[in-house]
Amino acid sequence: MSNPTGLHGAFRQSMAWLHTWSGLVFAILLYFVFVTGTFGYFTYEIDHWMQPELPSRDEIPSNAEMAELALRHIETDLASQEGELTRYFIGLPTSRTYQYLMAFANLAELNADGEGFIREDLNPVSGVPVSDVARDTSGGSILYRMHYALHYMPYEAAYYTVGLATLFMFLAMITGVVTHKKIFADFFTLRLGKGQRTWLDAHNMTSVLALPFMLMITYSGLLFFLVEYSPGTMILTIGVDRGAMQELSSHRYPEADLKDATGVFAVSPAMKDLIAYVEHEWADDQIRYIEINSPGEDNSIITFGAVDQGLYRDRGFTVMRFNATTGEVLAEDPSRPLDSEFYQSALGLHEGRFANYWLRWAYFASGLLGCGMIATGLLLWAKKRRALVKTGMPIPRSVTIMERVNLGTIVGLPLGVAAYFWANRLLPVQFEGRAEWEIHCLFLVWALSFLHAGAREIKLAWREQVGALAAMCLLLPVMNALTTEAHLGNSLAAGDWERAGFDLTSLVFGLALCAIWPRLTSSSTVSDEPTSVENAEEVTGLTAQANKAGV
Amino acid sequence: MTFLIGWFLALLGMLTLAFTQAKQAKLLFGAAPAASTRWAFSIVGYALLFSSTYQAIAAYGLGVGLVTFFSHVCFAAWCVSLLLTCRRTLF
Repeated sequence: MSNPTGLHGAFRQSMAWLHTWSGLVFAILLYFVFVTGTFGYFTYEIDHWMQPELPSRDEIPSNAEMAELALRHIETDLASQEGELTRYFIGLPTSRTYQYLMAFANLAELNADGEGFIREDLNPVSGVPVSDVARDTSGGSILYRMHYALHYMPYEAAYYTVGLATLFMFLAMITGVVTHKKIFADFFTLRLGKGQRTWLDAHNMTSVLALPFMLMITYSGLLFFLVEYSPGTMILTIGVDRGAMQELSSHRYPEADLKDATGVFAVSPAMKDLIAYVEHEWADDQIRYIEINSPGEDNSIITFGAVDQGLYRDRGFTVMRFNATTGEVLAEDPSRPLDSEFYQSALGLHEGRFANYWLRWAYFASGLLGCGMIATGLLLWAKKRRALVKTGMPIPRSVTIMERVNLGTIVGLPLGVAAYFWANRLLPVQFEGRAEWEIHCLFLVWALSFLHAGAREIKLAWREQVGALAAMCLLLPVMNALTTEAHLGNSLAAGDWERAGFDLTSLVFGLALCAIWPRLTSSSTVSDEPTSVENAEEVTGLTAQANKAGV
Repeated sequence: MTFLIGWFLALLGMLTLAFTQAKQAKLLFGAAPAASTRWAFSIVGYALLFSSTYQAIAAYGLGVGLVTFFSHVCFAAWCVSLLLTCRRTLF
């Protein structure tokens, strides 16, 4: 039951219509993107919790020791398996990356699987492959990946679909701002216990107070696939063949001529001396990777890459290169052009990799506000339409369906994510394909929540699903304690705040849901009774306000 | 601590700016302040927000500092809104 004027009424009403429908069409997908993307801000912490067999940060040895472990593994194990290697890449665990040691090498020729590289993740303490000592899991990385690549569908189709949804969201936000007449007068306003008005206030607050974040996240989200979303620009300017892409890349990431030497030398070209030099130049915990090109040859170059520090989404932006034979420091890369800096800054803002823990929590909370904005919009849409049904009139089927879909989406998806974490602890460690089955559990539980919402009386269904979610959150640390040694007590005692933080956050979510749960008896998430005739006038007034506000 | 100081300045700024709105000020004080008082609140509020911006940029640099400032303002505004909501519910 949209605004009958559609796009042909007064300007503000037209924008309200556009806001409603552009927000609604992809709302479920956008909710999925926001929920999974919000978890992405703690990808590495979730990875760490989901592999309790790996050491905590305090146990991780020095960079020099880890580099030696990884080099030995590459030069002996990987080389013996695959023959000649042309490039080594060692990924080091830092406070802002994964907690394992990555040993990666490019092959001189394609291997039996048709691949030109080999990779093995190692326990940074023992050097034993992670697959031999830790459970197989997709970790937090898959949640992050799902927010743009979805799951069970081709990558290209996924990012085009997400891109279209993002475009609609951008439109919904701009039209929402245009529509909201009292954006400053209502800036701090949340009136509780007033039914539809409360949901409208909550929708306004979640979106208006976090508006800079919402605008940034959608706009920068579109920029991620700039070339794919607007191929016309490429075609009309430099073309789309391989050479054109390389030209674009070298424009964005200009590199120094590696023959340019600086005359500055490390103590020796030995790896431990190079690491000592870089650690002296950069602060602690800054080396993200070590790359060795043409190992063992005269022209071999060793590159050290730093963890992201500024807004740039760093693709090796801060690097230090050495001549591997002499230990001489090579020239720095020239500065990037302004458009490249803007582009990288936008991507950096989106991912927030530069963020310290405080700011990371702010990103996380802003992501939750985004989820809240979409959820309140969905609830408001259904509530507004139900409120217009007069006593004695049947509830339109579209409204009842939408109410159930809302429940399956808003509570069902977090239930699925909680099931994903539970599956990590409950599936046998040696279970074949357990990483993929963890993800299947997420989607199975999500699908079940839709079935449950459809089968039960809607108020009861809300109580049951929110109750189940609260129980799953509260009991997750208990399940962790029953199945692993990395439980909350041990994590706190060891000062392993990544794992302890996960358990504590789960408890906080569980307690918050417990606080909400009793309110669901008299909840305004849904009302089964059609509006009484006496209240019809008030409801119509509110609905008109909601229309004006664009919801 | 640096982060919290910036957030606290933003919180004070947003609270002071809330007093400049008749509806919110009435909720907090019982009666809307005079126009001149609200004008003074407005100046103090923006000055506090400016201090928060300056503090964030001084601590984290221009780019990260501005992002930090926006997060301060967002969550300060949330705290003020929740405070006002409590006032509405209680009184």
